This record gives sequence, structure tokens and C-alpha cells, in this order.
Amino acid sequence: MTDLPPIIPVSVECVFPALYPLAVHAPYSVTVTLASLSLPEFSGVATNPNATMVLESTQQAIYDNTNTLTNGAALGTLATQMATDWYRWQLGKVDLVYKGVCSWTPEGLSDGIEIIFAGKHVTTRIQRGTWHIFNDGGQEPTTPAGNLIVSDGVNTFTGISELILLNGTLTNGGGVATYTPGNQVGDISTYRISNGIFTPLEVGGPDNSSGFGMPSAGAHDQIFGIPFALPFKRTLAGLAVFLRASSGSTDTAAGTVVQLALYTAASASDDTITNFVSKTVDISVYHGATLGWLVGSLVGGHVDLNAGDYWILINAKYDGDASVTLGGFNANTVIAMLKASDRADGAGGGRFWWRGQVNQGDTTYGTWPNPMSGPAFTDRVSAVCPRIGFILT
Amino acid sequence: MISYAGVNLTVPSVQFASWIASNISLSDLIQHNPAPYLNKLLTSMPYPDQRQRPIKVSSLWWPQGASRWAVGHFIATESKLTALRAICYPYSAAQPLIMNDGLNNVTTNMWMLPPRPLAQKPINSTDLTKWLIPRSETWRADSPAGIGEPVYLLTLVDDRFFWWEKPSSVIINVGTTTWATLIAAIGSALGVSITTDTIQAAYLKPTAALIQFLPYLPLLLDLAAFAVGMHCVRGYDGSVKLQNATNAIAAQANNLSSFKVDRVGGGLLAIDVA
Repeated sequence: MTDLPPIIPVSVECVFPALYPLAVHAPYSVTVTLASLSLPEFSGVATNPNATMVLESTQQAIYDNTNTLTNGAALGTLATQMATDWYRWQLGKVDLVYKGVCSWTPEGLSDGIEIIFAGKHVTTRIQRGTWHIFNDGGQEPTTPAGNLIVSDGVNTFTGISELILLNGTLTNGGGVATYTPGNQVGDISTYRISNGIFTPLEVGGPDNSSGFGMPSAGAHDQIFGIPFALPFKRTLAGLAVFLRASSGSTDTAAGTVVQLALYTAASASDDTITNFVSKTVDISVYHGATLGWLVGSLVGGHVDLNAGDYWILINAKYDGDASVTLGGFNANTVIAMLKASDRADGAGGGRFWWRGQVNQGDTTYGTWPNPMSGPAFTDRVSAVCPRIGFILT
Repeated sequence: MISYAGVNLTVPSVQFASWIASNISLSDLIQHNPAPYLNKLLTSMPYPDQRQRPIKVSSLWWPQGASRWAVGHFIATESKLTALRAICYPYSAAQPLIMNDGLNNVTTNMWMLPPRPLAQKPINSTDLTKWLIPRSETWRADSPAGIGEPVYLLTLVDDRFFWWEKPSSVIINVGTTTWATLIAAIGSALGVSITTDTIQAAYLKPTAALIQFLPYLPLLLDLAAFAVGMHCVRGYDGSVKLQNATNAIAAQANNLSSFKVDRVGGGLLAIDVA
């Protein structure tokens, strides 16, 4: 008789997040019973008939344009392998103490080895790990039930299970060129997306896409953030951007996000970050807005709008002016846009673009996508110590 | 006998352990706290929080995993600490820790963290009765004056402690990077050669979900190991390997058959089919 039943569920359910081009799918799951694996280590072993171990994988279930799963066979093989390994990792059976120093060879089944000299009493303890050994072929434990409320002052997201905050520091690496009327300003970006990750990119011309930074034409004008990418195990419900925790900014325990703080330089020639003057702005998050009017307006030709794309628009207005609305930006408006969508070709995860522009001298910004014909930028905008949060369910 | 860097360390008596508990308790001492470990990665840690482990004097704890590290706590008198500083600094190489019970020993290289004073005030040999620490702990028989010495808590860690401070140049090109190349890249960044058991093709390739952990090499290595059904194991000799369950079970069985020394506590759980 073994004591395995309490820790050995009758089956393992492997869950794979869905990658979809057209519609939202629930995660794809494969259930593997211990009996189906015919593992000799568990021959004749009774299991807990009421338990199923859920293992989250980061491998994606890929659907085509007809909503047909295309990699079901590979995921089935993976689920079998994950279940096999998980069951075997439960077999750590050692929790004993040897007299004296025992040169036990470290192995993966025992959690740790401890040698203790207590006066003249010398012992060595070898101990197995926790009952539910985390080994899920994925990267994170199961998401807890969401109870976080996140609000940007316009939209409120409830039932949020996780708010991921990424910390980093932006550095103004050089001077900022002024915007030339009549031309599109380069993306205010320092990061370029490649297979789900932002990589540093010099800000310069309109071909430089993505990231967050400031308009610039200089070859070495850079604002560095931190490389990041979204984990696609969750549903992206919103975006929170903390550019700086300054006075007037709120970052409460409930996750309320209502303001940004931006910095502007005192003059066009001033690129010393410490001379920048703090500005407080409001943000609004637009979730699921119809943004077709934006298509074609983006610089660099990087946008491939697909059905099912998920857009989040953030607009930020200096000095807490609540009059900022889509399509009618006023002076001193900072616009950043994030696109979060899975690639239609299924190659890799989602891609993100930051984009935006700054206008310091006009009273009417006009309607996007033609806000670029305003006067020259006379101030510069930077971001300090950004924290970017992804609101996930 | 316990020695570090060739210097014999004091094995405290039960009385001294009691003195420590009464006068400068170690139970609420948190010594290790890498910033990312605490700030945003704890929920992704595949192992229990190492910071919750109590400090045990004259012990060495050797955990599995890359994100956890070995820790040893020992006692050193001031004269021995002076000798250790001369050997350990500059901080260019880990020094050997030897734990020897007279019959068997374990030897591994460890790094010394800043020692903490447990009793720093020296005494005069003529006034030993006022010395609170049991005489046996600090009495130097080889000293003409028989001077009692200050004593320190010596904390030793293995290489994994500093893996948290290694810069990462690891990238994942989703769809191209394989698990083997990712693990090798992590090893390269850590400056160690990582051996792996056979990675099953069923595990496919790394996904974008790991990208958020790229800057944190120890955690990344653990997560990569788990993602291919393995656990990371660092040996006393500094070797690092990713071991699958089958080989871990075999290694544990081999350990059990190799050591016939007395068992003074615990035993084997009843989870063997046989």
C-alpha cells in the first residue's frame, strides 16, 4: 500500500492559450489520465479520482482562418510528455537524517541537502520538495481568481487577475531635433518589435517604428526603456502606463491609474534631463475602439491591421485638461498608441507598437491622422522612470 | 571539523547557540534579497521562498534549482576572520569549505559575505567571569594571555547567489531558438557549462512567454528547465545540469544504496510501487 493517492490525481489537464486570427477562443486543453500513460512506476497505484492537476503551457493552440486548430497533434504529444514528467516528479520519497556528514550527490528529486554540526552531533538531512511540485511545462502557476479593479478614469476593468508592471529607466541620450512642418515626425520610439520583443532602436526618421520616446532626427537621440513583451497566456484587458510617480499621480492599492507625468524642457536647446519641467497629464484608455480611420496613417508601414486586432489607444493631455477627445486633440497633447494583436501568420506572439507625437505650440491639433502639419516642436517631451502595466485577465 | 579557505572554524557548543538566541537572535535576520527576486518575480518562482529559511549556525544548505543558492552559516573568531579576509580578498575566487566529521566529508567552493558581529567587544583576560559568551567559544589556549575574542557570524554562499547579478545577453527568437540553444546561452551568460539530459522533441521550442524573464538568468534557467520537464541541479563540484525525472529517480536510488551510515531520523515515504 502506498501513500500516493493524496498527491496523484487521476489525470493531468494541459492548457494551451489560443492563438487566433478571427475570434476569441477559450484556451485549448488536453486531459491525460495516469492510466493512459502506462508508466511502470505507477503500476497498480490508486489515484485521487476527484483531482485533476492543471498544467499551463506557454505553447499556443494555433487556429487558422476557419477557426480550425492546426497544431492539435503536436499539442497532444506535448500534453502526454508533460503529464509523464509531472507524474514522475512526484516520486521523491526521501526525508531522512543521516548521522555524520553524508556526501549525498545532489539530484533533482530532493529539494535540498542540509549538513548540520550541532556541537558534536553532526547530521545530514535530505528532504523532498513540496507535494505539488511545480513542473508544468509552462512558466507561471495557474492564474488566481481576479479581484483587482483597474481604472484609468475613463474605463474601469474589474475582475483583473494580474497587473504586470515593468520597471525601467529612460535616459535622454542626446539632443532632440525640432519637428519640420509639413513632414511627419518620426515615431517617438526607441524600441522596435521583433518576434515579441522590443529591442533598442535609435530614434531618427519615420522608418523607425515602435517604442516610446520623443520625436527626433538625431542619429543618437535615444530614450531607453526596458525590453519587454506581453505574456500571451492571458487576455489583455487594458494597458496602464506610469511614466513617473509624481505628485498628482496616483497608483493606489486598487490599481487606479489616472495620470501620467511628462517632462518638457525649458527651451528647444535644452536637452538636459534634469532641467525638464514636470507636467501632469491625464490618460484615457480606449479599448476595442474602432480605429479604422487610423489605418494608413502610421509611419513606417508596420501596421497590418487584421480582423480581430486588439487596439488600445492612450491619449494624454497636459495639465489635466479633460477636453481631450479622440479626433480632437488640443495643444500639448501627447498621443501614444499600442497595438496588441497576434500575428495572423502564426509566427510568434503578438506585436506592439508605440507611436505618438508632441505638439507644444498649436491650439488645435487637428484630427489624426493629419496632426503632423502643425508648427514646429519647440519643447521636448521625455519620460522618466516609466512603468508600463499590462492588465490581464 | 569545519574549515573554510584553509582556516578551521569554530563549532559552537549548545551553550553558545543558546547564548546567540538569547542575545542576538538570528531568527528575524534576512540576509538575502536580490531586488528582482522580491519585487516582481516571486510569483513566478518555482520554489518556496528561500528567505523564509531560518539561519542555522554551523550548517550548509544545498538546494536544487538555479534561482536558489547554497547557504552556510558558521562562527568565526576575530583572529580567524582576519586570516579569512587576507585570503578571501580581493574577491576573485571562491574558497573551499570542508565539512568533515572524521569519517566523511563534503567539500565545495563558497563565497564569504560580510560577516556579522555576534559579540564584538573583546575582554580582558583578568575579567573572564564577566564575559557572557561561554569561555570555551573564545578562549584561545594558544594565546599566552588567553584572551577572549570577538565572534562573528560567517555567511557563505555558492556561485548561484551571484547569478542574480549576471547581466543577460540572452535572446529568444521565437520559432527559431531551441531549448538547447536557449539553455546554452544562459550557461554562457552565467559562465558555466550546463549539461542536459535529452530534451524531448515534444516540448517544441521556447515561446514568447519567457521573454519577460530574460534579464533574470537564474529564474530563466529554472523556468526553461521546468518547461522541458527537468530540474536544475548544481553539484558540490560546481557542475550544473538539467536532470529529467527518470534520471533523478535513479540518482536518488543510487544515493540510498551508497550510504549505509546510521539513520538518526526520518526515513522513506511510502510512495514506492514496489
